[in-house]
Amino acid sequence: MQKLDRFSGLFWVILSLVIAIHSHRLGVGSVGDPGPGFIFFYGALFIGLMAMLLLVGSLTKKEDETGAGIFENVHWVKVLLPFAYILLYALALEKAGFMISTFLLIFLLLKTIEAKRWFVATFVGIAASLGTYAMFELWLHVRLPRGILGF
Amino acid sequence: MDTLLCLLHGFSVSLQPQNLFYCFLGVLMGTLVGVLPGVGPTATIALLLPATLKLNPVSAIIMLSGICYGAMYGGSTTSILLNIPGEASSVVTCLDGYQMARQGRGGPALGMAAFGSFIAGTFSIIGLVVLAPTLADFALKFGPPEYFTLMIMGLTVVTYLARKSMAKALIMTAAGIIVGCIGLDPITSATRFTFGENTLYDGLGLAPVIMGLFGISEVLENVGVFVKKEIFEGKIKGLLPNKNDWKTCALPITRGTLLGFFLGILPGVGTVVPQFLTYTLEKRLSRHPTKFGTGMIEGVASPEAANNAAVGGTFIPLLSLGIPSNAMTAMLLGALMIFGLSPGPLLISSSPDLFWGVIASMYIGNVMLLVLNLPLIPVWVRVLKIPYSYLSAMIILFCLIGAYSLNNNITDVIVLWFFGLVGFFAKKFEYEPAPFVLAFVLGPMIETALRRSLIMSDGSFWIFFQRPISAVFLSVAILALAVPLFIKKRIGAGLASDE
Repeated sequence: MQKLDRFSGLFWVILSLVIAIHSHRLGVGSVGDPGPGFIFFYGALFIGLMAMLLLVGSLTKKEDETGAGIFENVHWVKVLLPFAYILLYALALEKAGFMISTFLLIFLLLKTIEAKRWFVATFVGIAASLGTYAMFELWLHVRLPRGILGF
Repeated sequence: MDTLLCLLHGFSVSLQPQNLFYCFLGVLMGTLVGVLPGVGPTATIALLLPATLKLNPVSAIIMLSGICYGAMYGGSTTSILLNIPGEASSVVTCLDGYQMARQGRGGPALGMAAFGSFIAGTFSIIGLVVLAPTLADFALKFGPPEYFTLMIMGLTVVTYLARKSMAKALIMTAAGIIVGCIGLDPITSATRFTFGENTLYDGLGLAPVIMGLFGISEVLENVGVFVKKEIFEGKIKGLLPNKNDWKTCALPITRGTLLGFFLGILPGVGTVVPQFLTYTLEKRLSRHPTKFGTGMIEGVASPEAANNAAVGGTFIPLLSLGIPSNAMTAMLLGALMIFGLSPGPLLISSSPDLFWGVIASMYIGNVMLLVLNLPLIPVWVRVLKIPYSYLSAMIILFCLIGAYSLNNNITDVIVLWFFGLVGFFAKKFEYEPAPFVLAFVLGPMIETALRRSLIMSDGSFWIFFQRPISAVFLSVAILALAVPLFIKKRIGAGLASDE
């Protein structure tokens, strides 16, 4: 865990510097008259301080094995590909429309998460897009995007 | 007498057919999400919030509240039958519940969990009826300094109770405050960290953030790990505990109820900590402490009573002060605000239908849960056998639709995706999301209270110490930060090592 703490500590130190610089530009103001950047600036300083403590702690403590396997017992394909599908879904939703985007999302998720057969993934994809369309658009009157094909 | 009349009015509201229906729907969905590992009541409330916008506020809050305590009932089912907690607040039930199931006593375990939950839930509702209006009256004395220090106290208690590193919990808390303040400055209307996106002028949406942190990240965490779940396949018989079981569990249920309720009231404690504390207490008080973990029915009854009692406790600061004490009630606070209601001491007087209707519906919901939960156990077992690939795909889809339908805006979906990533990696690096969420919700309120306090005091921080109530809150906050410097083992860290 020390290695991971060093990495995350450094990340937070850098992020806190970036936030502090930007919030300074917004205007920190004074204690009697806080500006728009007041809470961001001091929040960033606090994060930077905690991150430095974490960093120093990770450098001074004896290296231990706890948490070493955190990234080992992970099936990364099953995690990262769905994240990519979700982002693509977000970007394609309004252009391709709800039905097509949803079908593709479910199809790809089932093929990735448990390597379902093509027929099963296709059937469930169609059922899911039709079912959720009925539930949200027809029953709950949520407007779902139509896309270039009009549905 | 007034309280009784108000409660009767509450029952008249909650017994209306549509409210009964939504109460039933809420507890059923709550039980379902409690049963299913991977999505909890917080993400479910976030998911359903857009759909409830079409309802009237009372029905919506009744349904969303039903999800909260319904999940406590459902979580015990998977703990007992699967040895996997459906909810974080049912972790401890696994220890003895699953062992009881293996010994052929799964029925009494499930039965005692349900009855213990019902008794505790009933008591906590009575406590809510008595304490919430009293606390609301007391809170009328609160000004910006008291609110500021109360919220800071709540956040520091959450970080003190963090099961991993307190430094990491403090980082998440500060990050939550910063992220919560993104948008237009409330006083000068300057844009803050909106990156030129006018959709961010109102800040990041609570629902997409929570669905990302608790929904998407949890689901993909479960998907990405090589775990084979074993459902206890034996026949579940005899759901009613026997006389000896009742004799054994009477005092543990009482202790669990009291401890859970009073701990749940404290901002920051939530429903997870009480179950650990009551289990530890029962183990220490038992004549056979070494048998805990081998199938002791008290080890099921007490934590289940504690988590249900804590739910009622958490509603007290929410409804009387407008301060959420955990991520779940933070979500409910968001719901109240979306409906245009002003959570706080005046909620009881300005929206009596909502306040008393929700309280009465909590009792009705608990009765529904007791009556339905046990007969529906075979249904839940079948639900658990659905391959997780289908469930995870549908949960992800519902999260995406839920996020989009809030404002018909892709930005919310991208926020959901981003916080899903953040939540996943945060857990890998052992950063807990609960302090972040609480701080995210409280951040804008903290900023406003701080700035108003400093205006009142002409910039002097002494105002927080000069006002007695504020000084008490601030002292507790300082204690929570300072104690770990002197005492090696924090309660939170102790709970992590007890697992």
